[in-house]
Amino acid sequence: MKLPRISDKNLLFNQVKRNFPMLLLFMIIFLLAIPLCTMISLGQDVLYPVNFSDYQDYVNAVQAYGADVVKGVGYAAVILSAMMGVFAACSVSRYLMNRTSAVLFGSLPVRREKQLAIHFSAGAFCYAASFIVASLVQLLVLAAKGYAGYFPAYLSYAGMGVMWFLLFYALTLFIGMVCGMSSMQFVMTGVAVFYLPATWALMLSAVDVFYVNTDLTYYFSWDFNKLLSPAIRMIECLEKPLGFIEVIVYLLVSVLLIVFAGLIFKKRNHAKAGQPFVFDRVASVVKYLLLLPATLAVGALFAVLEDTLWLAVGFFLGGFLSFMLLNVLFTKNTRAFFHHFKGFCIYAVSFTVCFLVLAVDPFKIDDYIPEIDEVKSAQVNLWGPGVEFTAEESIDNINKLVKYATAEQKSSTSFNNYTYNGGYYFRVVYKLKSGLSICKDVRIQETQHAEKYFAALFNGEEITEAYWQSFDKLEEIDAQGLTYHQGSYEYESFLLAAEDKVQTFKELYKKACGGRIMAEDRGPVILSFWYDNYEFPIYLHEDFEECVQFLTQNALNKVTGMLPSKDNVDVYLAGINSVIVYDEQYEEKLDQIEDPQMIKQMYLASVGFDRSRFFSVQISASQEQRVEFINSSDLRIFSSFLITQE
Amino acid sequence: MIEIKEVSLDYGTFKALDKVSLTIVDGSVCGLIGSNGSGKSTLLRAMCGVFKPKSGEISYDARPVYENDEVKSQLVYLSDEQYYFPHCTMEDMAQFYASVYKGFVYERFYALAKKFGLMVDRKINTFSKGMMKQASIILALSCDTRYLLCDETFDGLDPVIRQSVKAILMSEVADRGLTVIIASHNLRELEDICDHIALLHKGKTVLDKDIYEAKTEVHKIQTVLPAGASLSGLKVVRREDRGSLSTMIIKGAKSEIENYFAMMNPKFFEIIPLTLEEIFITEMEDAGYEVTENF
Repeated sequence: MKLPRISDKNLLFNQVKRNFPMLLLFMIIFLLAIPLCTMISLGQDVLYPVNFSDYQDYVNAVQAYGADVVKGVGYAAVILSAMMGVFAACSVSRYLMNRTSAVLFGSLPVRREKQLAIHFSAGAFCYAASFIVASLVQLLVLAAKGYAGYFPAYLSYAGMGVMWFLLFYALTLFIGMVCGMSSMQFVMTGVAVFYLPATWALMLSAVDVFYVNTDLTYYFSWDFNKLLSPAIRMIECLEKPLGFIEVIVYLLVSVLLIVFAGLIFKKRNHAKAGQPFVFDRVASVVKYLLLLPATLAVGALFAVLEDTLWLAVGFFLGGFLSFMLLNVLFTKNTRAFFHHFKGFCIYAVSFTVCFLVLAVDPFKIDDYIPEIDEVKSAQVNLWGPGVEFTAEESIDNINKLVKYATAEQKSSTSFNNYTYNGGYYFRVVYKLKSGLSICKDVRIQETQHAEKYFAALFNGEEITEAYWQSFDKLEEIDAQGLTYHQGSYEYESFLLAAEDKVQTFKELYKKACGGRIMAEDRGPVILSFWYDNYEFPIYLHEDFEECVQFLTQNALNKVTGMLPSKDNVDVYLAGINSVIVYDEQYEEKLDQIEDPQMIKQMYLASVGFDRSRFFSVQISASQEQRVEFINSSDLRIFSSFLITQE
Repeated sequence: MIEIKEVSLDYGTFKALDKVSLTIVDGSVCGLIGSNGSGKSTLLRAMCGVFKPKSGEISYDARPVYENDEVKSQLVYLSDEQYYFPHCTMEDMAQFYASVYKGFVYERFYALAKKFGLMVDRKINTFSKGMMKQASIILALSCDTRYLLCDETFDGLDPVIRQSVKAILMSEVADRGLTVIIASHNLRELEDICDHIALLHKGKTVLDKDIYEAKTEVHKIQTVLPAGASLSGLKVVRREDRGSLSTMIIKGAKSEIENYFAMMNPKFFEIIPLTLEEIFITEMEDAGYEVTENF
């Protein structure tokens, strides 16, 4: 018998029609979040004379800026795409999660694989149609507002959005093949996405309770965690775009997930629709996988009691209650509390063994300090950027310091008797020749011994050559320090850009720091400055007068807040030939101003405002050397300013 | 012709079907009866290709049904719990069925809807339970398939609609040779329309017979026997005595039973027609399923 073929297009059309509410929802969300937001934001982009003394006027003037708007909606496009991937996959696989619908579709004269493909395509179509429409409207809006130059920027975000949609769509669909309920599919997708970083964090926090000398936060870096979860990489990709290889890998993973979903689908027991999981073994594996973070999470709640016994109670309660709860959730049976209790006993024993091993630390992992010949380099972080030492002498000094601190720490603190009596925290990261890294969390009390070790380290040859040289990049100093005026000391801001003054400051800083950081009588903080996102407090006593004199001579007297004053404009701008206006985000040179009067006006316009908020202007002292004068992200105000001047 | 050969199917450790064999000829109406959990719905779902049997084979005209679009396009399954898409109308469902069943007959769909008094543009979720059932029957019959597999189809229908459905089914059987397989607990309903019954118990086929044949093998007797009369020569399945009047169900040929009683010279003897329900209970008891055990 020759059967006329049922048109796949008809089926697909029918599915799309049934998913029309989802399509409409996606469309509304995308239109609201992308073109409408752009339109409203760019609508505020009116160039008008700004009253610089009016903060609100200022804010209004700088709020709308094409690059930021495009970036903002790009964020929305990417995040929403990923979320819609999960939602769409749950929606299109819903027919498998309900017993009656599974029976209906199972009885239809359409092969199951084809049904799945049609449902899958319908979900992808809903996303694609809504996203394409929203993106086209977005491009129209950008063009109409005169921001056509941002087409490539938006399209790159759109491309990322599509890729992340595909990944999350495929992942959720894959998980749906082993789940029998939509709610379980949704929850398990969340588990799949966040399980590894969450469990890793909980494990580290549990170990951290016992490992006093090891800094485990080092092992929870963003770079590492983005490997554990696509969601973390997705958030990061907004700032740090994906590389070509990464895109290929994610696309490949998406395709593989779809293929595996198809293979599992063939094995799927449709009679189990409506049950949390359609494969019993999967349910068991997931249950024990979830048991570990659940145990650790409840245990962590008890860790605040700072008692080992209570911590053990917390772990036991966490494990036991989670086991019962998971039993009930995974069987939909409130009487299934103690199902597979033998398995729980094995888990509890295994966990207890790990707990005891951590508590006793039989291999003395926490106390381990590598030998000099094992170490490739050792990095020490104090208040500033980490300094990497490679010389044997330095590593020996570091080891002595760490051994001393570790011995002190072990004798004075324990989990049950945790006390902190001041002192310094710093981190030492050993990079071993074997490729491993060991990060030590060093807490050291202020004693003469400590001072001796620090002095040995900081007066060593290597630090003289390497550590201070790192400050050679410092071309401008933005600091606060003690000045002396008419018989009284003041604490005020100053800004140094001239090279000879910066050099003097560096010398002063070396004197101030060298060997005296750990001194018990180190004196007051008379100077602090920021460099590379670190604050450098400087305690000075021996060279006090010299320092104050220097600061007094160079301070920006009587300025408003931290900014340069109108009084010292000529001093400050001496030697500056031109101002280059940059779009800092895209590193695009927008304008170059050489007229001294215009430069002066710009400078004056900037006085009195928190420059970390609005300005993105770099002033060029010479053709080669750029001095970062005002460091921020928005230069809209200067555009407005310049137009006003014209 | 539908052939079910040694079909077994498990739900985990539970054996839902255990080597079930059945043959249903085209153009017949087959009633699937059995106790709760006997495997009727499972068998129907296996017959329409929803479940794949663990062993054995289900074939239509010698072609296996599982994942066979060609065979499945010739059958439509009416589940005991109907599934309708959220917020859809009967017309929406008709469009869906039409996209799947090439032979969907819209004329029949509209005619039946009119006959049952259902509005095709009204949302199905506003229908009563009985109306939903009617909608599913209309949609199934409009698919114009050769086989109709119904699970508890008459449940929830009022007597008038029930009769109408029966009449429509019978006319479909007569007019275009539709083969109907109905699983039901309502033996009274089946008795009217079935010409074949299959009795399932604990996943096994207990009885698979033409309904008339089944009725000739079991008889209900009311009699008043003389004192000391022995019935050891008969296969008495059930006996109930009220005073001197005995009511019993006996397996065997009608003539043999009549002759046996004639020899005992009873004071009163009468053969009463058996209902399908009585046949069901008799066969079930014979298979070891005591109704009273469950209470």
